Amino acid sequence: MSSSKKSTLSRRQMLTVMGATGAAAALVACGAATPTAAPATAVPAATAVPPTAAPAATAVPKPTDAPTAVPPTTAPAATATAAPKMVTSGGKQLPADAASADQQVLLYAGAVPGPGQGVDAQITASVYARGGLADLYSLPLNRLSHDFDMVPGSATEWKVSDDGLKWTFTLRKDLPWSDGSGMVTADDFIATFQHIADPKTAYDFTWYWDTGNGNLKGLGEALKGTITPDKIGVSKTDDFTLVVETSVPTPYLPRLCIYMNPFNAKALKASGPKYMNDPKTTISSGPFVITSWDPTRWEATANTKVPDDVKPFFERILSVPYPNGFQAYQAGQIDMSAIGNAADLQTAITDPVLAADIRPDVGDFRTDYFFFDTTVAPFDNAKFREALGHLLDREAIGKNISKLLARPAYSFLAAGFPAANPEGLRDIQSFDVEKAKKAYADSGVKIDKLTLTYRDDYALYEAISAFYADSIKTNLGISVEIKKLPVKDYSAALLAKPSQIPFGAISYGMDYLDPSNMLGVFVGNKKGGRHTWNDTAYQDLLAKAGPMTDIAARTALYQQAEKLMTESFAFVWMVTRTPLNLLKPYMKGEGTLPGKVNKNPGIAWPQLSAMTPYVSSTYIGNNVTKRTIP
Amino acid sequence: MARYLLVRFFGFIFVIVTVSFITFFLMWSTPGGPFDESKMPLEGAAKANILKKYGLDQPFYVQWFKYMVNAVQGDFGTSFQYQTPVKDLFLKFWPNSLLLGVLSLAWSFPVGIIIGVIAALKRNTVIDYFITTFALVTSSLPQFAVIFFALAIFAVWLKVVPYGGWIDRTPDLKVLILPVLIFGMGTVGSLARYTRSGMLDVLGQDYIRTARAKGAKRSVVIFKHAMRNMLVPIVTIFLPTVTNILSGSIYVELGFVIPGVGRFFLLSIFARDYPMIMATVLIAATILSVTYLLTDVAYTLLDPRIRLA
Repeated sequence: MSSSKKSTLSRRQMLTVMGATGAAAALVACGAATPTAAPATAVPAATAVPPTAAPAATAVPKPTDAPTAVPPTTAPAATATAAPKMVTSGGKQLPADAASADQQVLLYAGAVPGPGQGVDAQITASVYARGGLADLYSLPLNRLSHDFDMVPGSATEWKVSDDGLKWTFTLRKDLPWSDGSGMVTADDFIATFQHIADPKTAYDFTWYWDTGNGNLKGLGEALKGTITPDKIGVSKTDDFTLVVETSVPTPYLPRLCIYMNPFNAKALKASGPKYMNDPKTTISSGPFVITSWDPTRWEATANTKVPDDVKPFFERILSVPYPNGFQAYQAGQIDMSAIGNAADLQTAITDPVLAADIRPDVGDFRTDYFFFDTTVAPFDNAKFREALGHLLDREAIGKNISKLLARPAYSFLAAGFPAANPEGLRDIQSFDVEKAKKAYADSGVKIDKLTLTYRDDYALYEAISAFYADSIKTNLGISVEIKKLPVKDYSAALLAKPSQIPFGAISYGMDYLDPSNMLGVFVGNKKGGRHTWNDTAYQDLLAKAGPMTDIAARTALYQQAEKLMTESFAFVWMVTRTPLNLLKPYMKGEGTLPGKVNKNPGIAWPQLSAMTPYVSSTYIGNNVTKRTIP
Repeated sequence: MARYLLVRFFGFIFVIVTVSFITFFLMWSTPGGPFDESKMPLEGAAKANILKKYGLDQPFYVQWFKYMVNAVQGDFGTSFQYQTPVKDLFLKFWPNSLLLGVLSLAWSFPVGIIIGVIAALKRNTVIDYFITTFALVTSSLPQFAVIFFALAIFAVWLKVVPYGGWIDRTPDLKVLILPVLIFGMGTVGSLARYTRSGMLDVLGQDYIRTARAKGAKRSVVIFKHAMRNMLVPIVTIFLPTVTNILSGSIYVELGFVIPGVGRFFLLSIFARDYPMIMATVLIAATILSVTYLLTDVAYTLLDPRIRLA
C-alpha cells in the first residue's frame, strides 16, 4: 500500500533534514559548554591540608608497647540549653549535636564488588575474601588510634618476657558474646590461632604470622602437617590471660595483633567460621551484629550487649555495592566515599560542595614503585639500572599526573612511617638526565626496546608509565612497550620461576606499622619475598634489626637497609599515595577530627572497622540533610 | 521427527562435552588460581593446602572428568568464592537475571514489533525514517556506554532514579527502570528492523494484493494474512533472545550491580572460581542448544513448507 504524497519525503530530503538537525545540535552543544561552577584556580581550602602532614614519628615504636591509659570514648555532657537528650537503642546517650536516633544510620558503598566480596565477615576467616562490612563483630587484641598508636582492644595490656619470646596479653573481662554464651576469653583466641594454623583451613594470609613476620612458634610446622595445630605457641594461664610465643624475639608482635579478631570458640568448633555470615547463627562481641550478609545488602545493627565504650552511636550500617562509590556519593546515597582517579578528583575540586568534603588521608602508607628483575640482562647491570633510576621526574608526575592523589616518592618508607628517612635518601634517585646518560654509557648495555608491565589496580599507572617510557625514549633512545595485567595474572607472572616480569610497576602498603613489614617485601624471593633482588647484606640487616629492642639501633639498621636498597636501583620509587576521601559534613565524632600527629581530618585507615575505636564514636550530626535511608 | 530429535540429542552431547573440555582447559591454563598473592607470596605449605582444599592438586583431565561426572548428576560443585554449592547460588542469582530479562522482553518485544509494523505501513514517511533511525541507534549503541551516561544523567545529575542499589530480593520499581530499559534497547531496535523488512516483504506478495482486491479490511490484511507470514524471521531472533535473557546480561548486571548470573559469571572468571565458570558455561550451552532446537521445530509449525532434515 502506498503513502499519501503529502506525507512522503524522498530519501534525499530526509538526509538533508537529519544533517541540518545534527549540525544544529552540535552548535548548541559547543555553545553550551560553560561550566556550571567556576573552575577553581587554586586548590580549595579543604584540600589544602598538605598530604605530607603524615605522622611525624620516625622512630621505631617501643618493642614492649605497653599502652598508655586511653580514656574510653564518652559522649560530651549535654548543656542546659542543648537539644533534648537522645539515647540509642543500646542506651548510649547521643552527643548534643547529633541527629535523632532514627538518623543514626551510616550509608556506605561496599567495595567495588570483586571476586569473593561478601564471603567472609572477619579477617581471621579470610583476608582477601572479606565482605563489605567485615571486621565489625569482634575487637582485635589491640587497635590503632588516629595517630597510629596502639590502644587496647580485647586486650587491656600486654608485656613481653625478658628473652623476648613470650608475650602475655591481659584480656578484658567485660566483653560478652551476643548469644549469651559468656565473655570473650583466651580460649577464643587460642581457637582462632589454631584455626589459622590448620592446614584444612587453608588460610590465605599465613605469611603474616609465619617466619619473618609474626614468627608464631610452630606455625610453619603446623601448616606442613608435621605438628597438629594445638601444638603451636598459643596458650593461656587463666581464662583472661593469653600467652603467645614466637620462635625469635619479635618486638613488634603487638602491632600485628590488630588483625587478630577472635572467633567464638564453641561456634567455630561446631560450625566452622561460616557461622558468622549467617544472621541466624552469627555471634558478635564487637560494636555491631550482622543482620544481613547478602551480596546485595550487607547490614549490621548496633550490638546493645557490649560495654558503652564499644557500643556505637550508629543504630545500623548499611553497605550496598553501587556501580561507583564516587557517583553514589554525588547522588547523595552514601555518607562517605573515596576519590579513586584523576577524573573524579577534577570533578571534586571544581565542585564547591564536594571540595569542602575532601579529607586527605595517609592511608596505609602505600608506595608505588618500578622494579627490575636483577637476574636477567640488561637489568642485572647495576649501571643500567642506575641510568633508568635517574630518568623518573617525580616532581613533574606530582604536578601533572598524580596531583593531590599521590606525592613524589624518593624513598620507600613514606614520611611518618617508623624509620622513614625520605630526606636522607632524596638525592640518590634524583631526576638527573646527565647522570642517567653517563651511567648508561658506563654500563656498556646496548638495547633498543624494553617492556614495562604494570599491575592493573591503580588508575595512575597508565599515565605514569607512559611518562616514564617517554623519558627513557627521549634520553636514552630505548623504546618502552607498556603492558598491563590484572592482579591475579600479574601475581602469577611475577612469582613464576623464573619471573616473567623483568620490568614492572607495583605497590605495597603496610599491614602493620613497623619497618619489618614494609622492608620485608624486598627480602628477596629466596627468603619468601616477591622480587628477584636477593641482596645478602640487605637480608642480614633485616635479620639483625628484627629482634632488636633498642629502638635507636633498630631504626638505624632499617635506615641503612633502605639506603642500600635505594642505591642498588633494583627499585625506582615512584609515588606515595595520599588517598582522598569524601566525608559528608554531618559525619561527626572523634575519628573525623585531625589528630595530634596525623593532622589530617577524616576517618583514618583502616576506617570502617573495629580495628580502630572510632567506629564506635562516629555519629550523624544534626546538620544532616535529607537522606533516603533504605 | 523422532529421528531428527535423536540426531539433535547426540549432537547436543557432543557440544556439551566439547564446550566443557575447552572451557576447562582454558581456565586451567590461565595464570593464577583461587588464591591471592597480590601482597606476599604464599609459602609452599600454605599454597599446597589451598590447592588441596579446592581439588586443584590433581591433573587437569582428572579434575575435568570428576567435574563432568558430578555435573551429569546435577552436582555442579562448590563455589570457591562463596563456599556454597553452585546450584544454590544459581537458585539465588538466577531469579534476578530472569526478572530483569522478562521485564525487558515484556516491553521490548511488543514495542519492537509494533513500531516495525508502523514503519512498514508508513514506508518512506517521516515516521518510517524516525523509527528506522531509532532502531539503528538503539541496536548499535554499546550497552556499557549507555549505562554510564544514563546513570550519570538520570541518577547523579537529575536524581530522578536511584543510583544503582538493587538492595533486596524484590527491588522497587524505580531501581528497575534504567536496567530494564537499557537491557531491552538492543532487542527493540533489531526487532523493529526485522519486523519492518519482513512486513515489507510480505506486503508486496500477490496474496496480499488478492486479499485487498477481494475487499478485505485493512486490519484483516495486516493481522490475519501479513503478520502470520512475517513471523518466521521474528522467531529466528526471538528464541535466541530468550537465551540471552535466561543467561543474564553481563553488561547490564555489572553496570547496575545487579546480583544476577551474568555478573557473577564475570566475577568468577576474575576469581578463578572454576565450578561457577563451568556451571554457567554448561547451562548456557544447554539452553542455547535447546533453544535452537525449539526454533527449528517452531519453523515447521509456522510454515508447513519447511521440513526438518
